[in-house]
Amino acid sequence: MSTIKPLLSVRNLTKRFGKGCKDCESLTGPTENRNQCPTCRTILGCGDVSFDLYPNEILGIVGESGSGKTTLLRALHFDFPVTSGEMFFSYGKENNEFADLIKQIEDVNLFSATNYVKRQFRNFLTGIIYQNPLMGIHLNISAGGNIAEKMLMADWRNLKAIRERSKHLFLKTEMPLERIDQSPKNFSGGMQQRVQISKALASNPILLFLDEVTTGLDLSVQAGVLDLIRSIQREFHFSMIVISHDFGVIRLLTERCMVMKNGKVIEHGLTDQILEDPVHPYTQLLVSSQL
Amino acid sequence: MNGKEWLMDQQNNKKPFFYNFAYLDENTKKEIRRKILKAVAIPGYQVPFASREMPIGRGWGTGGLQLTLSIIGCADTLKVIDQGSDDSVNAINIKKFIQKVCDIPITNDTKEATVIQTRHRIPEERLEKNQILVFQVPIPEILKIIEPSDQVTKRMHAEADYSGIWLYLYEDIIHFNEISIGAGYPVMVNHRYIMDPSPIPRFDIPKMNHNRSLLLFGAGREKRIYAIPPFTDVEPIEFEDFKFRTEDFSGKKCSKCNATDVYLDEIIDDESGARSYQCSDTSYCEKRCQL
Amino acid sequence: MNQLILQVESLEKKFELYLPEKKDFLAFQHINFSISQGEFFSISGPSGSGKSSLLKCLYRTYKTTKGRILYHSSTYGIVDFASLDEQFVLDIRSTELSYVSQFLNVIPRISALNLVAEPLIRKNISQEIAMERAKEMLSRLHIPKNLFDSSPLTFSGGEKQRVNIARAVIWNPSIILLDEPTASLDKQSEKIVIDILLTLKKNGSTLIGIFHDQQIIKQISDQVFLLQREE
Repeated sequence: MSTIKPLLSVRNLTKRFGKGCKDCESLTGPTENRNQCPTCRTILGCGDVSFDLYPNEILGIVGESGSGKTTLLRALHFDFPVTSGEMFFSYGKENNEFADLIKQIEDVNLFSATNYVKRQFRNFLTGIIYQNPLMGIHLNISAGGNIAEKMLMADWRNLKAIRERSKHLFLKTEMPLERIDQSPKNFSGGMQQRVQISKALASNPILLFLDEVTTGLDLSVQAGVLDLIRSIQREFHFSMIVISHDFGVIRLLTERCMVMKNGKVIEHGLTDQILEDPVHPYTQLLVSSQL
Repeated sequence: MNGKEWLMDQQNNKKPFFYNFAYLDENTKKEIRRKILKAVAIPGYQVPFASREMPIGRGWGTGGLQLTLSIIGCADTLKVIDQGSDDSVNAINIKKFIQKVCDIPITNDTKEATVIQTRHRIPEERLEKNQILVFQVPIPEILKIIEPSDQVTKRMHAEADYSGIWLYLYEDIIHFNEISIGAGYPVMVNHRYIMDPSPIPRFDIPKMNHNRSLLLFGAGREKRIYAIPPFTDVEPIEFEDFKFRTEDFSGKKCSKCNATDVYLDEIIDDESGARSYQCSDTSYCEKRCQL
Repeated sequence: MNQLILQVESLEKKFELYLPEKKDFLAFQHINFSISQGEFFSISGPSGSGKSSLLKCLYRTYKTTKGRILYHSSTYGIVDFASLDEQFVLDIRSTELSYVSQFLNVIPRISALNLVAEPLIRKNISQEIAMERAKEMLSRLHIPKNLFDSSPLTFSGGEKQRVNIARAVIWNPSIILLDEPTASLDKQSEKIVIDILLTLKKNGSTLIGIFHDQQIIKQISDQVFLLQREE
């Protein structure tokens, strides 16, 4: 069977906060219904997570608080070192501008790479959008400057090109151009989120991480932001990992998803299948709890 | 005389102050030389060192002085300049001190010197491969303008995370249509580290690129040594469409020697208020006048 | 006749439900049939016999508990759709296999035209051509022109269903699964839809459908499969 190589391959990713002990594995997780090991008080962030993500694919990760979905995302974004596990990146599309870097990291377990390589990976190949826009943008720089920062991190050195792209993204995310040089301090929540989206997309990433991007926004704003993300993904074909506790978001954006509980993946499958024919009792509980 | 002879001479002639050759003890010299070697091996990287007690106050050139004293030998000829002048109070004081502790020839002639210690200027005459230029550096950390924490700037250099400083330049250009950094303009060394060249004028920056001599930088108060080995790529950081510019002296010349292609100091006559210009590099000016 | 395109062997679907209490529910079992390329295969049976569930299993919306679904994919050869890896299922769904649900479930903010054009745009067909074909298709299905730019949310049941069908067939899939496609249509719309389905069949598509109307089943089917109700 012919196979396309996955864009991202994650194997047995585990993150524990604490020293760890021999009881941790057996005393934590969804069957035990707890994240914290009673013996050594170590907390399981996420445990033994494996998955593949393909080019132009959107993967959802669903779960409630403490499920480990945000820990998983942070680990993939190298926000902290992992306890164990491997992560491989591969992208074979011709004529892509990052060919050198991608060749360099082919078959390299990124979790064991140097911070320098991890930063290159983050800057050139990925983008991230956080739930709280203040985590992703600086309030002391103009909106345009925030978007420019991502390009500067990806070694863009032509002012005109940077400026043009900032304006282009501003318009694409349906923001008024006259506010591009203002600080996002006085922007509404939805607009701040759009600045974050523009920033994440600025350097043409291949992989985008979305962490509960619409939680906390007004419903109409939520809808606008989600539609925007959807249409941009259709246009540029980047892959996305979408974290949410809201199945509505998952249904709208994703084709496959994983359900997490107490740090472990308890079910995974096609999104429509998870929503209409959930197998695991916890998944059934989650799906039936949607308003 | 060499180190041994010096010590014998001190002992035999019952000199009142019993110093090692060039004031510093051999262990100190060893440490500083090792750090210089490391700095030369990693161009532009700031190597920490245990800056010693010196008979001049911190902030008056102790870093440059420690470098000079660690490398100087009886075959060397020394020149010391301050803002280009051999005759400023600070330069004279340093020269007097060094002569007291190692009795080596002193010169004003750039071509004759083998070791040149300088504050805030590079001599006009081209340096050759048998010469070493030692810079006195007040603040070695170029990223201080965007980040006060040393822990963070250390990580930034390690990961080549220089987006902050690029953003600083970008914002300057957007707001003022000019980069506001005057002296001490950040340079990229060997395509890897961004470095503070000490507060030399922009005019001197091009002299650093592929210089035939060894450039050593010492910050005594901040306890850092860094270096640029000969024939290293040193480029001021700039955008493709907003290039680095040096000071513009067109239409002006030195009132003493009529030089037009040198860095000029502006002199305002106290009584008449008239402006005139003079070579900052006094020894070069004198040479030209003698011709 | 034509070669086989789908073989179902000993298929069973049992739901294990945990809410409000643990309960097992058997939708169907021991299902066997074969479908040839270009056939119109109808699934018939009393209400509650598991027809919709069977169709959803064929699309992998439901996961079967026993048996195999051997699908002759033009990209991957013969595969067991029931146990196939997710990314291949998604690929087949976007290139060969289509599903028309009983009710149109759609994002309220997209116009009918965009909805129908979307599958073509996903296949990298240019915006202009996709929109043209979408207009054509909607016209064929007698959707009034002034509704093209409106969201189908406000359409009548019949109009909604026709948009649903348009979206599912506009890209000429090789297999089309249809769950009661004419249930909410008046006689005229019903005829239009049947015509379109027969045209698709003529062009080589295989159609697998659930119909409640015995007349239609008799009129168009090459094969009829009767599902018994599980006691």
